[in-house]
This record gives sequence, structure tokens and C-alpha cells, in this order.
Amino acid sequence: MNTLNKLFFISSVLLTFTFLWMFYQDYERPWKKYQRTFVKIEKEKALGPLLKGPPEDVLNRLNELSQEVSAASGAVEEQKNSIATIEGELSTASRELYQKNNLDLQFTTVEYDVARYEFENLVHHGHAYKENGDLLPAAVKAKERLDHFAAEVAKKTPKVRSLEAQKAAAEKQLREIRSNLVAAEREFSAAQSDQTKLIRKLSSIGVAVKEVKDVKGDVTFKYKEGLGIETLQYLFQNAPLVDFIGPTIKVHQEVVNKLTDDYFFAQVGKVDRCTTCHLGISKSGFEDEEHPYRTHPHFGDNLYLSSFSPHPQKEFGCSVCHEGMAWATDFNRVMHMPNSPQQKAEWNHNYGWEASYKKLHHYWDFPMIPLDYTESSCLQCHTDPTAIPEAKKLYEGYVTFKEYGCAGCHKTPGFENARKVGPSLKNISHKLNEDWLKKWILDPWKSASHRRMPQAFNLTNSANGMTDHEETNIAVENYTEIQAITAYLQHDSSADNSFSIKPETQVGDAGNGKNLLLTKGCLGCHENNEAEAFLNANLEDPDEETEGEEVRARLKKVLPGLFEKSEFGPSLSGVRTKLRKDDAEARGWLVDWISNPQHYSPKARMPSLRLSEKETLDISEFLMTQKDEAFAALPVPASDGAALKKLLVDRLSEKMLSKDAVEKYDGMNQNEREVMLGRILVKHYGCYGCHDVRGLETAQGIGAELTTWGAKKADKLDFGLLPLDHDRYSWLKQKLHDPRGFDMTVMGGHGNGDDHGDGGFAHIEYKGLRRVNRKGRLRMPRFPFYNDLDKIKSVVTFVAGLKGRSVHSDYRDKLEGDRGAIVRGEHVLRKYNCEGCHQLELPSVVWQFDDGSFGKVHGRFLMRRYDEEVEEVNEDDPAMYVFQSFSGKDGLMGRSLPLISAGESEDYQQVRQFKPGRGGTVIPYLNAALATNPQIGTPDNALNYGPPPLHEEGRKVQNKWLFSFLKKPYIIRPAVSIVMPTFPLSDDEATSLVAYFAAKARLSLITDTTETIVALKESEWITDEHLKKNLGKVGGAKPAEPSVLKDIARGLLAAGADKLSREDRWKLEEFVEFQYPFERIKELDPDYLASKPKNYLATASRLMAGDLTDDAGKPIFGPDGQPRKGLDCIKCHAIGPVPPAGDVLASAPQLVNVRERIQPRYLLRWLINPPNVLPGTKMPPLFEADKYQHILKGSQEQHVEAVKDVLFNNDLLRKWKVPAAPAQPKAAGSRVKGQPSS
Amino acid sequence: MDIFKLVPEWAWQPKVFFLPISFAFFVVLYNDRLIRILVNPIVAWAAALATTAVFVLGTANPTFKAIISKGDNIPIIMMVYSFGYFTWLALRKGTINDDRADRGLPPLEEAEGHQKVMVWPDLVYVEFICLILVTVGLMVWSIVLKAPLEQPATRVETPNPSKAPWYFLGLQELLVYFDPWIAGVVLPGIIIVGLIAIPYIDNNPKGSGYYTLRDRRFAIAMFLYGFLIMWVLLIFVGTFLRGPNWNIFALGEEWTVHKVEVLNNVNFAEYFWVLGLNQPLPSNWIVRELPGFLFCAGFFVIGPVFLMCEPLGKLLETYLPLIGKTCASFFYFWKRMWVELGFVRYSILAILFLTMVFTVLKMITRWAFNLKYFVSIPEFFFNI
Repeated sequence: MNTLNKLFFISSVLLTFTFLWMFYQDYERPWKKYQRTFVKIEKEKALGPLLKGPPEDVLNRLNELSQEVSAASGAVEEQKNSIATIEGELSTASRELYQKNNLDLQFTTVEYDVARYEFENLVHHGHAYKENGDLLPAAVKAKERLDHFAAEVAKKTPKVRSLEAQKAAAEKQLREIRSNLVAAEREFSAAQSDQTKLIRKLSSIGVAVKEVKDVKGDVTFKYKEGLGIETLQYLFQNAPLVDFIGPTIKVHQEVVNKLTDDYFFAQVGKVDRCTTCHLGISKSGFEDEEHPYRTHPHFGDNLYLSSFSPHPQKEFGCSVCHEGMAWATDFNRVMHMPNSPQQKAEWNHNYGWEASYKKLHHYWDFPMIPLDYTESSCLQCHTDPTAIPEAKKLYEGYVTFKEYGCAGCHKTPGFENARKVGPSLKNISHKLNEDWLKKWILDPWKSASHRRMPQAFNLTNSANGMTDHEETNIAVENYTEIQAITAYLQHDSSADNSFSIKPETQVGDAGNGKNLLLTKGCLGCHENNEAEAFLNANLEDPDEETEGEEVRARLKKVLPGLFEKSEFGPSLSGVRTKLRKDDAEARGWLVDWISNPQHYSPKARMPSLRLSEKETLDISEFLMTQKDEAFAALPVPASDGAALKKLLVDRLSEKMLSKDAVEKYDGMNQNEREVMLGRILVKHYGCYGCHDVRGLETAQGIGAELTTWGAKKADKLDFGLLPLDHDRYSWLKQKLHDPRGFDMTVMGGHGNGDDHGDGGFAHIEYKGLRRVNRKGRLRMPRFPFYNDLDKIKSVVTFVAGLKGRSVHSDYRDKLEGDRGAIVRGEHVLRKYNCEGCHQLELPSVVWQFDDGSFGKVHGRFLMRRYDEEVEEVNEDDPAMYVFQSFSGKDGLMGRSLPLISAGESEDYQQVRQFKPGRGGTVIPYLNAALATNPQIGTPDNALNYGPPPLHEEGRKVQNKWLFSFLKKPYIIRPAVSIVMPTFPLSDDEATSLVAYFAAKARLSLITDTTETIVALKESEWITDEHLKKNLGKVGGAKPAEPSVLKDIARGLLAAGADKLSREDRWKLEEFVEFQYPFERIKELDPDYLASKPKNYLATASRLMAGDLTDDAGKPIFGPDGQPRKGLDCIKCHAIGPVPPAGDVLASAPQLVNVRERIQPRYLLRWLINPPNVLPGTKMPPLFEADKYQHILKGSQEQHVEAVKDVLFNNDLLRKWKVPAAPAQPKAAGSRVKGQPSS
Repeated sequence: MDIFKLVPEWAWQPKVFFLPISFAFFVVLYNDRLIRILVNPIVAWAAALATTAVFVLGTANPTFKAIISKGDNIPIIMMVYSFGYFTWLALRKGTINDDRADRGLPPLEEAEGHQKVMVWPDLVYVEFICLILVTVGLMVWSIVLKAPLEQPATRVETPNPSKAPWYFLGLQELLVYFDPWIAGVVLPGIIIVGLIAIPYIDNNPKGSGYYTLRDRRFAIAMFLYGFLIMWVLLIFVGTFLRGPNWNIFALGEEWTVHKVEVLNNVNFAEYFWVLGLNQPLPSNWIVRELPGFLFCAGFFVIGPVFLMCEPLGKLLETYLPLIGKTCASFFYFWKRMWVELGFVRYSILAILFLTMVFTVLKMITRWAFNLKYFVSIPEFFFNI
């Protein structure tokens, strides 16, 4: 018994301790710790001042709210009172109205009706009048009665009417007050609920707030922190044992029903508990806190999680992008993945991450994505990364993937109809020489022409010294294979008799060819050593002793699109070396290619530049001088008969008995053997993935399909013997670095460890080959970016994003409307490299003016530093080289803007933001070349002879014109050096481009309009209540709908077109009138001029003449006795049949075409101040307000309108007359050297 | 210290240890002297300590540690101790009673049957303390061994190895050697039917109400072999030795999915026709599988007659030294059963016994000869 008692005692004590242990375990769960800490942080943030000193912030807010509450309730009361008053008034008024006047009037009216009846009855029966018209006595009385009542009615009616109006007004007032009451009540309850929320929140973190009102209704607050009842409540709610009832510390859970986890045949909405620990993730103000309390990046710019962002927290949760086990609440089980070795070490220390990883996570399907690759998740909804330039890494990966033709071998969604990235090999024997081809296949990177061609030979698994058992010489086998491939391609391409290229014996002028290369735009897509040298030589800073190369390096940093070499097409250095050995044949190919690229290769993207025969010959001749001596000196890979036999017999033996294979081999001649092996190898190595090879145009690529690669389990990947992390990111990173390494046995080496994204590639010491059979070895070639970690990581990001999941349609980026148009246009822009010539965006700065306001100014770059007065310059400064002129506030318009180095000047400090612009690769070459022409003089002036920037194209030209111009371009400015080439654009592609510019235009109009409206918000002249209310909606965190904006813009124009500034009005009008795809140019309506005064056009057209004439046609003389000058358009522009009178170099577009080309609103902006619209243009601002008053009375704007109307009247322009006599003798025009009239 | 390295890896394979263990089982159970050494408490304690030492020292090996610390496997470790203890206890009590019978005393149970204790406190108090201790145990268990949160289960991708609940691992092991319909339906069915049939077959009046070994040696041997060797031992194999791809891994060997084993299994028909008669398999499945059929039929039809073949026993007794007598007693035993039980009950007992032997035989032929099936008719999904 005693023993049992003791035993009972001991077991009871054990039970008690176990209970306590259990509660402790529950109380100390890791996430609870985070929540307690967060409460502290939040309290400190919210109540920091409150806890230390006077409770300013929170108290103020509370006071504010309470005042709002009382104000709102006061308003409610007031409204109620006034309702009572008005109702009283109304009832008095209506009593009076109905009981007295109206009734009285009605009675009187009846009396009147009776009297009239009686009188008219007499008239009807002839009893009313005598023959002379006097009343008969019987009628006199009736007539009197009638008159009496008529007078009565007339007397009483106005009174009643006014009473009625009074009543209606009172009723209206009542309605308004009632609606005010509703609004006030709503405000009241909103304020009250805000207040309650704040108080509740304070009490949830242990701060007591008591509301005390004094007699006057003023509110004061008392707060208490510490052991108030609220603190006790907080402690009690979260105390162990009782915290199951209503704790404030609890698991936070987000259920997103439309985004699902795939549980195989069951789609279950996501359940994310991440916010249990990441408490500040969707709250602003925690940006500087440590994890897990920190705010999500880009929360502030409304990209993620905020309710105005496209990805609000409530609708997206976390795991849809970050993956991992979102329903776990333990650090390790959530499957956090470190992003660097440092982070891993830290986690190992804090959470024992690695041990847990090995136990739990190893080979798990979807651990969290390391931060480096998180952008891959964007691809789930945004299937086209072009639509989300914000995801830079993903987009870069996508572009690289596309550029290097990965989809040629790997089937990839979105690339089903992608064009092959390499040139066609179908007619290769007409183009290349065989030796070059062999060397090229062996090692393309040694050639100067090298761009994207990957290495397929001499890699880890196909180089001498790699295997233990070298009974064969791998190098010789490689050479033999290359010989076979070459033989097959030659054989195949000479098989087509229908294709031929004529040898060209005529020789052009290479010197002029080089000039043409610089000035015809070749360098927008190609690079060439000589051209680079020319540009560098011209980049020397006149007052600095810097070399061109250096200047260029600096410029490249600032204006990346402009000063980089173009890598779009193949390099033109060393072209000669690869062409056929015979000069005439090589030249023949060049001429054929340049004059019609689609002849040699129907799918070529190269446009026709519409060059003359002479020009073609000259450029060809220049290219004939471009030799790649180093590559030419390399030995030609020599094939080997024994190796050929082994390779071919091995292959043949797969389909027949070995002895038959040998027999078959013996029965063929050498060339047949090579061709046969070559065909097998072209298929084996998948050459046709990038190149068109006859018979293999639609063959499936040799690589693994990538449609669901991002969801591929890590254990499905062959890590070989390499010391890699077992996740797909490490694998792919290594694969792209050394695609064949997985074939090798390994001596040792250290991996990229398990750093998940940081430390580069695995460095491995290989021992030998794992696969004996040559055919069974890995085949993926090595790409030129194999050592570029960033680029590889971006490609990994893209490929890892290909998860093949289907997302709910609400979440899919459907690329509708302008968004889709921009994306589709972007593809075409990229395909034809439009930005090689055109600047698609101009560089811009956000500038703070002296008055503190901000303005965005954009401009065009200069070739040299602008402000020569600055002594100490920081050459790396982006602002140094940029602007010639810019648009912006009036005071600075048209002036050059010297931007000088940081800290040195107050001017510099005014630059708030710099954006480098986009495109225009060809421009520096062109400018440098044109500047050698003394008539052009400076590179900056040369801007006028280059391709126009397209930053406002959609607002500038008409859609229909743009489409037909793209399909069949013509020369708009005769003086321009570089002409728009004829691209092989399909109708769809041209339409996409037009839609792209329209969409861009609409977006910029929306921005402009929003800015205008925000600026007008406070304008006093806007009196319309409805309009005012709408204005309030614009300019918040969420952009207003375009339709709303349009309504507002219409309202503003209707309410006060005359009160708006000219610029504002034009912007609003442009926005209201903008239409796509079916635009209406109201200037072209037949009755457009109907309302204009007589002779309107004739008068206006006189403005455009050189000399002003009066109505009689006589010249007008000024006070100085000189003839007065008009706009003198003819000086530069051709008008109809009349050629420009001035210098040919100045010749500007034909004005007859304006009507079908230009948008009228743009024309207005342009005419009034051209440099403001297009910085650096030669067209000056011509309209001076008072100069032409005696021709056409009116403002500057009316003058511009008039000229615009003339320009839209074709008949007038077509019949334009040559001016009788020039007012002054002109300098004889001459053409630029090398500028034939094209 | 990696204690598993003391045992060579090949020794961990069932084909190596299964027969010796079976043999040792019968030797010990049928040898009165050996069994008396075994039931000595010192030996038992030593065995328990040795087992514990293996578990404790084995944790130095990460794979073994991972296996034994897995929440699911904790019951199996408890099973090792509890089965050992209860088997030992029963055998010990049986031998004590046998000794008492030799001395002419009644069994212990009868001798102690006259003592009396109170419900309170002797029963209820003890039960209450047990209740508390079990509660403590469960709570500690739930705190220390948390439920694993794994990634969502999928029907298209099962864990590797995919294991049944621990108590079914023995049956799962049989799936290696038999088609599912035999291993999963027929054999468990026979086990249940056999257990139900015991009271009707067993006419031995001894051993009722008390422990004894000598009086019921055959019954105890059969039951313990079926339970300890063919059920518990196979659970042990399934838990500790079966790793990824259902390959056998030595205790302590790393469980890697990449391990490759030679599995060149051949059917009986192929042995007979191809290797034996050096001719192709007959295309007619009846002819092809005839040898296998005949073997199986012979096993189950002639087997019961063979078991009671007294002349064979006599022959063995005469010419086989050392174990001849023991072997002969096997035939005499079955002959006696035939006499005592009559045709029907004898047949049922013999068939049940032969089924167990057949199961073992199939496993052994698989290990020894890579025999896949005695009868294999893929045309009907019928494989034995």
C-alpha cells in the first residue's frame, strides 16, 4: 500500500509537470514569438511619442476623428433641423396655396368658363352684336361678366404660379437636404467606425483609451498604458490555457479560392499562413524593419500587395509567387530557401536550416523559390514577359532564350511558330567557302563574325584528354564529323538547280562604300570595325584629351541604346573571309543579298534599302575589303578515313547487321559516305533547330520539351556525378555553363554548394567519360554566354517559370486593349530592330524648377559635352552629355539645358530623375559621318538628317497613313540621308505596329490629361458641382478610367474652353478626339469650312507665302520700307508642284502630304513651337502674334489654325503657284556629298 | 562507432539469414536444454540490454537514426521489446510448469489459483496509476514526436519506398514473392480461417488454463513460427531493411534511390523446358505450365500422405545418424495425427501446414534459384 502511495505520488507529479510542459510548448510556438515582437514594434511605431511624452500623433488622430464624428453628427442634426424648418415652411406654403389661391383660381376659372360659354352662345345665335358691331343689350351683361372674370383669372394666375414655383423650390431644397443628410450620416458612421477601429486596435495592444466629452461637446481623451483593464485583457486573452477562447495572437490565414494548389484531380484554393509571422508585409511604414516584420518590396509603388496594386494581398496571397509550404508555421517546414551562402550560414545558426533541409526538403517538389529566381513566378499569369518589363530578369532571360533560339531544339510554349534564329543553309554553297565553314563549325567563337552560334565540338565530353580509354582520337573524330556535315550541306544546297546567283565582275568604289555604310543605316543592325574606329575618332572631346573609346564607354553608360554596337545582325568585319573564294562569285552574292535579301533567303529579316545599282556595288566592294585574317590563318580541320569508317559503320549498324554495314560502306565513294554521315549528324546535333535545312524544315528539335520544365521534380533531373545542389536552379545553371559536364566522372571539385543562386558555377575536376558510345553522349552545345552568370540566371528564371500550370482566367494576363497592342507591337519592333535606327523614347529628366514645381523634359543627346564653361566635370555623370533642347515649362523652352556635375552647381540639384531613352543605335555613326559635310557642320545639326524619333508617333501621324507607309515607304524629307527601308512586313505585323503606336499615344494622352486635370482641380472657374465631384476622382493612388477621364475632359471643355490655357485646351481636345482604329479627321469633313468666313483659306494661304501681299496682290511694306515677309514655307518645303526654293539641304516634307499624314492636333502644337515638340529640329517657331494682323485679324492660335486648315486643303496646295520673284537672291543650293537624290 | 559495419552487408539479406533463423528456431524450441538457458532471466536481461545497446549505438549511423527516429517506426521499436518479453515470459512459465510436472507438482496457475486480493486497492489503485502513467507517456510522445507535415500526397507520385502501416509490412513483404491476389487475399484468408479452425482441429486436452511447452510443442512451434518468423520478422525486414525501390539495404547502409539490384527471375516453365530440356517454351499455355501444375498438385495432394510416411521415418532412423531420430519423429507425429484426427481434420491440418511450408518454399526458391513463379499464366493473370 505504501509503495502504491509513493508510486501514485510520483506519477501525479509527473503528470503535473507534463501538463505544464505541454502548455509551455503551446505558448512558445515560434510564430507566437514573432507576433509578440511585432506587437511591440507596432506599438512603438504607433505610440512611440505617446509612450514617451505627450501622446501627440495618436491622440491627435483620435481627436481629429472624434471631431469628425461630432462634426458629422452636428451636420446630421443641423440637416435634420433644417428639414424640419423647410417642411414647416412647405406645409404653410402649400396650405395657403391650395386652400386659398389655387382653389380660388379654379373657382374663378370655372366662372369665367361659364361666362364665356354664355357670351359665345349669344354670339353663335346672332344675339350678341348689332349690325354696326355694338353689343346688343342682351349681351352687354354677359360681356361684362366675361370681362370681369377674365380679369380675375389674369389677376390670380401669376400669384398661383409663383406659389407653385416656391413650392417646387422648397421641395427641391428638401430633397437636397435629405441627400445631404444621408451623406452626413454616412460620414458620421464612417468616422465613428474609424474611431472605434483605432480604439479597438489600441486596446488590442494594451492601451486603454477613454472618451470624455465636456459640456460643450468637446472631446478629450485619456490613455493609459500598462496595467489598465485593456492590458489585462490583452494578457488574459493570450495567456496560456485560456488562449483558445479569443486570442489576439493567433494564426493568420489567407484563403484564395481562385488560385489553387493542384492536388491531382482536385484543385484546392491556396491557404497561406505566411502573414502569421510576416506581419508587416502589407503595411506601409515597416520598410526598414528586419525580417519577418518588413514591408514587401514595391509595396509603396503599388506593384505588390497594396489594395491599389495589380496584386492585392487579399486576392493573391503569397505562395502563388513564392511557393513553399504556405500552410506551415515553422521556419524550416515552410521551406524557406536561402539566397546566398551567407544567408544559409545565418539560417543554420538560427534555425538549424541545413539539417532540416536534408531531412525534410531534399527533393521536395516546390520549396520556396530562392529570391534570385522569384520572378519566374510571374510567368504563370503573364505568359508573355514582354508585357511586364518590371520583371527585368525574367524579361532578359526571355529575350536571351529567344535570341539564341533555344526553342529550336526545346519545344516551348509561346514559341510554337518562332522563326529559326540562324541563317538558312539551303543555298549555302552559293555563299560560303568550305574551309571557312569547317573552321566555323569547329570553333565559331574565333571568328570576327561570331555572334550567337554555339560551340558543338571540343566541349567537355568531346575533347581530347577527357577520357580514360583513349583508344580513339576524339579530335580526329570531331574533324571527320565536321567534314561530313560540311559535305552534306554543300551537297544539299547545290542540289537545287532552280536557284542561282550571277557572279559580278563590275567593281565598285570601296571608299564611297564605307561612306554609304555609315550613312545608309547599315550600322543600326550590323557592326563593323572600321565604322567603330571612325566613330571613336569623331568622339574625341574637343576641349578634353580623352580618347574616343573612353568617351564612348562613358556615353554608353548614359545612353545605352545609342552608343552600343548593334549586335542584331552579323558583324560586317571579316565578311570577305567567309564568302566564296572566287571574287566575282563573292561579289555576286553580296550584290544579290543587298539588293534583295529575300531572294537568297525568303525568311530573311533584312530589309531592302532601295539602293541604286552603283550604291550596291560600292557597299559590296567595301565589304569585299573586310577580311578576317586571324581566322583565315587557322588550320582547316582534317578528316580521317579510318575515323569516317568507324563513325559511319557504327551508325549504319544500328539499322543493319555489322557486316552489311561494312559492305554498304565499301560500296560507296568518299563523298557519298561523307554526305550520308553528314545527314545523320545534322539530325543528331539538331542543326536544323536554328537553320533551315532542306527536308528538315518542320522536324522536331532534339532537346527536351520545356513546357512544364519549371514543375519538373528535381529527382527527374540527371545530376550525374557533379557536386551540385539538388534543385532545378542549380542544375540548369550548371547545364548552361557546361552543358556536357554531366557526361563526366568526377575527380573532385566544389559545387556551387547549396547557395541557391549566389556563388556562380561549380568548379569540377573531371576524370573521364561516363558514356562510351559517342552517340549516347549529351548533345547540347555551349552558348557564348556560358560564363555570364547574370545572363544564365536570367535564362534559368525564364525556364524555371515554365510550369505549365493553368491559372484561373481572372488572373491570366489576357493582353487585351492597349496592353496587348503594345506587347504585340513590341514583338514586331524587336523582330525588325526598329530601334536600330529610331529613338523610340527620348532621354528625359524630371526637373525641379525654381518655384518648386516639377516638370518632365525630354531631349535629344549631343555628341559632346554641352556646357563648356564648367571646369570640374564628372565624366561619368549621366547628365553631362544629354540634352540639346527640351520641352517643358515656357521659360526654358527651346533652350539648351546645361546639366553639370553633382554638388558643383545648384542646377544639377534640380535634376530629380534621369531616364536614358531607348533606341537609335545608328544615329552616332550617321551624325559623325554627316558632320564631315561642311554644310551640315556639327553632329548635332546632323540630327535633322537622320531617322526621326518615334516617341510621339501615334499622336503625330494618322493610322491609315502609317499602315500604308510601313507597307510601302517613300521619302518624306528629300534631304535626309537615311531612307526608311522596305521591310518584309506582313499585313498583321504592320497592323500591330500601328496599333502599338496608337496604344502608346493613348497612354501618353491619359498621362497628360490626368496631369492637366490634377492641375485644374482647384480652379475657381469650375462651378459645375457634378464636374467638380468627378475631378476629385482623378489623381489618387488608383488611376482614373479612360472613359471617366474623357467625360471630365469633355465637361471641362464645355464649361470653360476659353478659360483654359492654350496648351491645356489642346491636350484635352487631343485626348477627346483621339480614336483608334477608325479615326475621324474633322478637317476632312466636306462641311468643315462652312462656318468659316469667306476667303478664309485664300487669306490664310497668303500667310504662307514668302512676301506678304495685300488683297490686291501687292506687296506690303513695313515701316522700314522693306517688304514684309510671310511664313515663307516654300523656302524649305515643297508645296505641290513647286519645289523648295532654298537650300536643298534644308528641304523639308512635301506639304501636300500633310493632309493624309499628320494628326491636326499635333500639327497645331508643332506649328506654334516645333523645337518644343521635337528638340533639335531645324524648323523654327514662326508665328509671331502681331506680325500678320493686317492679313488675318486674330490671335496667334487663330493664325496657326488657319495655316493648319490650308494644309488640310489639298486642292489649294496642289495648285500652288511659283512665287513671282524672290525677295532676296538666294545662295545656290548644293547637295551633300554622297547624297544622291534617292 | 558504426556497429553495423561489424556485420557484413550480405548478411543482412533475408536469403542469408531467413533459413538459419528458422532452423535455429526449431532447434531451440525442440531442445529442452537450450530452451532452459534461454528462459533464464539473466539471458533475457542480457538480450534486452544488447538490443538497447544496438539501438543506442546505432544512432551514430545517420540512416539508422533516421529510420528509428521516424515517428511511424516508434511502435515497431516498442514491438521488438514487447514481443520479446511476452514470448520469453510464456516460454519461461511453460518450462517452469514442465519442471513442476516432472517433480509431480501441479502447474503454477493451479497452485496460485487459491490466493485472493482486494479490488481496492490492489486492482483499481494499480489501474489508476497505470492510467496516469499511460497519459503521461502519450503526452510526452505527442510533444516530442510531432506529427510530420509533408507535402501534399499525390496519386501519381507515391513516396519511395511506399510502405504499408507497420503491422502490414509482413504481408507487404510477401508481395515480393507472390501475386497480390495470393499475398493479399488468399494467404491472409487462410491465416484467419486457420486461426478459426484451431479449436476444431486441436483435440489435445493438455495445456488448458496453464502454460506448458512440452505438452503442446507442435502447436506452440507452429504458432510461434507463423507469428514471430513469418510475421514479426518480416515486419522487421520491411521496416529496417527495405529501402527505396523496395531494395534490401543492410542496416546502416545509406538508402539511395540509385541502388541497382540484379533481379533475373525465371519461371518454373523456363527452367523445365528451356534450361532442362533445351527447347523453346511450348506455345500452348497448358502444355507450358504442366510441370508447374503437376508440382503444385503433387505438393498439396501427395504432401499429406508423404507427411505420415512411417516407412520413410524408419528408414531415416536407421540410416541417418545424429538427426535421424528427430526427423523420424516428424513422420511418426503426423501418422499419429492421422490416427487421432481422422481424414477430414487431418487433411485440413496438413493443408494448412503445407501452405505455410509452401510460402517459405516459394521464398527460398526465389532466393536460391531466382524462381519467379511455379505456375505463370499471364494470359489469365494467374501466377503461383
